[in-house]
Amino acid sequence: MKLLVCVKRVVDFNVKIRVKPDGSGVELANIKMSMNPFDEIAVEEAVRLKEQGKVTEIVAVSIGPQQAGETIRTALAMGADRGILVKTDATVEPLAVAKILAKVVEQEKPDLVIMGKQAIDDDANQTGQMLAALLGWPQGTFAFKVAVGEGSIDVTREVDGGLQTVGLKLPAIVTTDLRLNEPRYASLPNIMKAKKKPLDETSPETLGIDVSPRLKVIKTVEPGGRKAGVKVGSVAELVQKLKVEAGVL
Amino acid sequence: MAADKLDGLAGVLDSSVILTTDEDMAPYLADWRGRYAGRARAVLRPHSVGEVSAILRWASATLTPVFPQGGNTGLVGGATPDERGTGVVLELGRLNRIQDIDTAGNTLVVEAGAILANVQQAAADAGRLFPMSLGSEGSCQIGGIIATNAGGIHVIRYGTTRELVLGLDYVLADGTIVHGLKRLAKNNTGYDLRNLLIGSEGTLAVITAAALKLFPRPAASASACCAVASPQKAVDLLSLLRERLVGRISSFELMCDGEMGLVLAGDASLRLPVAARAPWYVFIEVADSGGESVLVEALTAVLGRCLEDGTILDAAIAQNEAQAKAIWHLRFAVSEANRRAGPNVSHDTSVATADVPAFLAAVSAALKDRFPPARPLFVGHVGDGNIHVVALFPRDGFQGPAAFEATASAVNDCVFAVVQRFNGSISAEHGIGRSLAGHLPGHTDPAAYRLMRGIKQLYDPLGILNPGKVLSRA
Ligand SMILES: Cc1cc2nc3c(=O)[nH]c(=O)nc-3n(C[C@H](O)[C@H](O)[C@H](O)COP(=O)(O)OP(=O)(O)OC[C@H]3O[C@@H](n4cnc5c(N)ncnc54)[C@H](O)[C@@H]3O)c2cc1C
Ligand SMILES: Cc1cc2nc3c(=O)[nH]c(=O)nc-3n(C[C@H](O)[C@H](O)[C@H](O)COP(=O)(O)OP(=O)(O)OC[C@H]3O[C@@H](n4cnc5c(N)ncnc54)[C@H](O)[C@@H]3O)c2cc1C
Repeated sequence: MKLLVCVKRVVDFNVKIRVKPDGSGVELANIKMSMNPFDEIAVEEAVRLKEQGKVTEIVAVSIGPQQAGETIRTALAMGADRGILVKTDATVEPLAVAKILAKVVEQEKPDLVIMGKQAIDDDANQTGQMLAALLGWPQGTFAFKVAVGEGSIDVTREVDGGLQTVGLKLPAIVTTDLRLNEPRYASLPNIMKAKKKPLDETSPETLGIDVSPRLKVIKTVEPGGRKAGVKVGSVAELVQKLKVEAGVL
Repeated sequence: MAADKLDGLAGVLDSSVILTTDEDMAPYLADWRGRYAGRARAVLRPHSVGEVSAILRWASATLTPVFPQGGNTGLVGGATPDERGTGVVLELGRLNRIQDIDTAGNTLVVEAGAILANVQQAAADAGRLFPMSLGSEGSCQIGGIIATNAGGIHVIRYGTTRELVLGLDYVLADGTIVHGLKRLAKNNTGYDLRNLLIGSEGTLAVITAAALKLFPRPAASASACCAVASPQKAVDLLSLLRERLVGRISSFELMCDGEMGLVLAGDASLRLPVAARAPWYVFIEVADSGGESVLVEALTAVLGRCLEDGTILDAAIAQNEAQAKAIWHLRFAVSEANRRAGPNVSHDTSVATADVPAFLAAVSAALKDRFPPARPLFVGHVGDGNIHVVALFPRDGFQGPAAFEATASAVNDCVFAVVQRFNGSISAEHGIGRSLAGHLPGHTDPAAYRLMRGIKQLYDPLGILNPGKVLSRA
């Protein structure tokens, strides 16, 4: 069984981002970039399925600038077999990403695509669902657990109020949630091996996909700061405040 | 009668400054290691330099011992009052204002009670780095790190606290306020009293503010955890890294497998970064102002070569900040893990870096020979030749604190004898405090020790400042 994982290069989760003074977006110059954490989980799951003997080949795909190749190398160091970089310096919106991925799927013919439920930069939470729609494949989103069977996959999903398990026929799309697994460290021997693994390059144009944006960012602003708390003198005062000022009781 | 004297003080100070109930005072009367339980008439928490001065004037007039205290994270009992209960603890935590940040001159002026982590953050918010970093940074104070000349994990690159202090304000035992907050890189005007106060452990004066050096924030950093077969391999790795990554090594730390086992056992959420347990681990951080990928590439290349020639057995290179933090968390969790593991006697020794492997072998052999039930553990800053030697005893190994103290002293003698053979130091970064005051004369040139006594006499003629610390009672 062949598996495709999608990896996006984003601002590192631990970096405190700043909005550009003109509000046109966030500051990206000299900022540490890493693999989207949900995609790391996707790669980890793919590698575990391969270690269990359920998957024979893992292909890692990234859409982005030249440096997105480094993100693919990380996936290769974690255990993916080869990479495809769809190189573009443009801002690619979820629908365009889904269209590109659909093309890659057409060419690669994987039995399963695993990707993050969202990327922590734009938090769109759309690409997996759009890809499923474009391909007409079943989707298991927000995966908490996956179990691969014969021609099928059971995906346990994190939903409001608990867990829900769906059975999907392969080929299918799975998007990962935070608790699916804990990604491994990239070991030095594997980082060195990854340097020799194939990494092919293509582009949206070659794939025949128009990535022109359909959305316009009007303004980016920092979230409002938290208001300072107040000390209350008694439980009665707390209850009073919760009732009257906060209106939550 | 004691109450009268404190009443005399109460007239001068705001009542919120003075804590006297057992409950309020408890956190200030025991040391972090739980080795000493002191007593005091009061714990004083002044808001201003004026109040510090008033307290010391009062203490001099009444011959009341004063025990200066910062975050109380010191590891040699330096901030804990003695058992006599005649003195007061002077805790600086309320003097915590950051007074100035100068990004052109790269300086920061701060009151002594500010917590180190807050100063690091203030520097970061201004786009600068205050490089002092140690496991206690969330609690220890600027005054505390200065008074102990603390080291930590970045000494290899930025030096000890001494190298980071430009000027100091302090209050003498008689209450005199001395101003010396110069933000000058060069200042050769007479004797350098600032350097005398750095590392004086509260025995010469009370530090109230400091001018500190800041550095540019490295734009890129990379962290790795390596498995190595022996301390010699770790030293070999360090030489090679120094050659290949000139000036870019921010930390280089060594840990034995026994210690790693204790750390991992203490917290189920922790993971070993490398594939399998190994005899020793090295933690590396490199940083510079260039591009991230170039740096990671350079580190990977050196480590790759070391893997091929057998210098290292394996390595994990952090792929993001979360992994870098997780790797360093293992190193920082050591003190907590040891505290949990059982009675232990810890040493803060240093020898020349090249001697580290032979020193570790000699200490290990000496401890095994003299104290068979003890497990020797090693962790430390190899780049500075500073290894913490810990002898961990079985949990039920001692009948009461006196038995432990007796053994601890014998263990100290055993380890320090080896230190002496290697011409090393019995306290590389934690200081002398109370724990080592008795050992200091035996490990100091007699003339130098006499000078130390003379300096103490000059600064504190009445002997009210942190008595019994650094220099044992005459
Ligand atoms: C988990 C942990 C990890 C540590 N790691 C390291 C490490 O890597 N490297 C290292 O060097 N140390 C380390 N230490 C010990 C280190 O010495 C202290 O953390 C720190 O330097 C002391 O600061 P503090 O504010 O807690 O001082 P305290 O413990 O309160 O006081 C220490 C000494 O300084 C004196 N003092 C405090 N404030 C003043 C002042 N304003 N004026 C005059 N004297 C004062 C006290 O009287 C005492 O003698 C560690 C400690 C812990 C608990
Ligand atoms: C052309 C020129 C350029 C200079 N440029 C600089 C400069 O760029 N930066 C700078 O900092 N200085 C500079 N200096 C001054 C500088 O202080 C001296 O050059 C040097 O540091 C003094 O060394 P010396 O051996 O000549 O000492 P001396 O002039 O002989 O002595 C200087 C002092 O040190 C004492 N002393 C000397 N040896 C000992 C010892 N072994 N033990 C105890 N005390 C001792 C002496 O008693 C005296 O107080 C310059 C001087 C000149 C003439």
